[in-house]
Amino acid sequence: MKRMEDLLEKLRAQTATSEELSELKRLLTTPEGRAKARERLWMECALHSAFRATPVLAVLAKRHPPQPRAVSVAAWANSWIGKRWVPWAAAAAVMILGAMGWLPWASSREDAATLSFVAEGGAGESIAITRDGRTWHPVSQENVLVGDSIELAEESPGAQLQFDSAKTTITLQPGATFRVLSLTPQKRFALDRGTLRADVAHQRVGKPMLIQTPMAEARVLGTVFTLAAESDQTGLTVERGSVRLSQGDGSMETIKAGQAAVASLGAPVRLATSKAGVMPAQLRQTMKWIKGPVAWDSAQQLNFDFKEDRKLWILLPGSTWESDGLQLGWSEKKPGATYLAVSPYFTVRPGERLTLSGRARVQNGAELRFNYYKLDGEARSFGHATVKAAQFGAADAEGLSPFEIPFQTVAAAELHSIALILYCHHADGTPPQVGDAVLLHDLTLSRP
Amino acid sequence: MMPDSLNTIASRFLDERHRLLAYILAGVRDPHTAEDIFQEVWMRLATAVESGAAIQHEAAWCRATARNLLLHHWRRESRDKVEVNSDLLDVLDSLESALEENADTGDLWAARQQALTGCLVALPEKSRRMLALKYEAGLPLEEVARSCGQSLSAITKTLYRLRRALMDCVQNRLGLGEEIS
Repeated sequence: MKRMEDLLEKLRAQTATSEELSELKRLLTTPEGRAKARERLWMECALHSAFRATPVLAVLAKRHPPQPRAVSVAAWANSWIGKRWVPWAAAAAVMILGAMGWLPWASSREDAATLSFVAEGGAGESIAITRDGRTWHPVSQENVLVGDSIELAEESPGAQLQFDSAKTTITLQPGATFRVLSLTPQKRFALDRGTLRADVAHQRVGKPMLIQTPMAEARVLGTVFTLAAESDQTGLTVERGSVRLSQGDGSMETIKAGQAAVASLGAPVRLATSKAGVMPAQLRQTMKWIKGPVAWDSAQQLNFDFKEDRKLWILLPGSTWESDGLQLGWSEKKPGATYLAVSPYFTVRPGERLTLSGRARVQNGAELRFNYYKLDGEARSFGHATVKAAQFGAADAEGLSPFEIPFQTVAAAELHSIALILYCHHADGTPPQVGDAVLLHDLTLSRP
Repeated sequence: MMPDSLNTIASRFLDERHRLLAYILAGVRDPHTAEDIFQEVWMRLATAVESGAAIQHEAAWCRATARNLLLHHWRRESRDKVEVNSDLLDVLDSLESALEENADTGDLWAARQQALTGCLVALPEKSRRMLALKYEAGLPLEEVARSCGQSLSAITKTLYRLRRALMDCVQNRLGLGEEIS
């Protein structure tokens, strides 16, 4: 059994030699060998499914760590899911407490702390470090470990992280929330919100520094750059070297010195025509507009108006996710494909049947289709699934036509966060032009 | 609206998903890559069905597609350093037939999965955390070892023993014989 395990592991790691492949092939000719291989693969698949099926709130806790202020887990959960779910929230809080102990962001540790934290000029309570659910305010300098979350209030003086023997520094601006996901062999961080400026020493070949934001990921080998993140937009300006910026829709750009780029909801990563478009202050201002009508920019690439904060929805059995008054224009991802993405966070099981419905007004008549995409907890992975098309009913007095799109999730494991990507085409099959508009009302995702 | 034929195929695909995923996991360690390959298989199947292609044996078609995607993944990841020789293809074929030999019903899979969940809960916190680092975070073994403060060989052995113990636990809970598969 042990030998079979070793050989299968080498096969999976793509490191098996010709001799080892021959040996594995020979072992698999016997019934015992095949049974052992089957057993090992079943366990791999089962463990994969078991750990992908962690309770939804535990996963959400990973994506959105509790605020480092003194807020109880139950209160935090309840604030998200509404008072009518109090009993459920209490149970979920218990699940969180049980699950957080083995969530890597909360508990993984490096033996050697190679990161130092310096609060400039004394920060009072404006800088908070959270570790294993415990929060404190550093006086001056603090070792920061893998799994730590650092939050800087707007009134904080900023802070600096140093590592690689001080050859690499990351300066966190006031208002930033930053997490340390890994230090070795590869540095991985998450910038949940706010702005940082990084001066990165050359990283090991094949081990670029990765900084994830809610919308994108920056891969860095050695450079100086500024990264700004909000929930729906990431801005990047590069001063020296180059940074590859990618986002979940598969789009990516390599940004060179002197260039700037933006990754935003519903649009691929794109080079900015001017740096002003992605400067942090302006980015923050743009994000504040999300709760009201938005005129994205002069290019009219995307216009939308969310009447509710698009932070989180938890879709419990029998409940619905609703968004009314969604107005969107179209930007071109590639010829013939125009889309808008919304990403409610909830768990769906493989094979589960859901319905997306609403009322729409589409210029010149159109077919509305959508894909749902898996958004992994660390936004590393991006898979797509099934495609549906809606038939519109007769328009009501407001000129809005109802539509209903039932669909079934086809996935390997539970999906904890999905993005709904809505596509629209004119009835003759041609894509809408930039500037065309669709008005969506009562967009609802329901689970029977 | 999904056509009835696609609905039917989607149901069958979902019923078979564990075996297909197990097959894919034989070829890749990263769980997210495995899920992406799985999704790609489904997308190709759905596209083929929608375009009217006649597929005689969907499960075999899916495994053949998965095999091609695995080979493509290996070539891309290894920059052609992996030699796709006859032994490698034979191994994949053997694993496919090994999984095919013992057709698992959805009910039995669910029972095993439930038993495994119970066994995981009963594990010490340290062991659960180790498994979570590997299977939930998808960290490579080297990083799991570093996080747990153990050597690579020690963590490899520990994970082996853990999986063995879980296998025994599942067998006990289900009252199965020696071989679970």
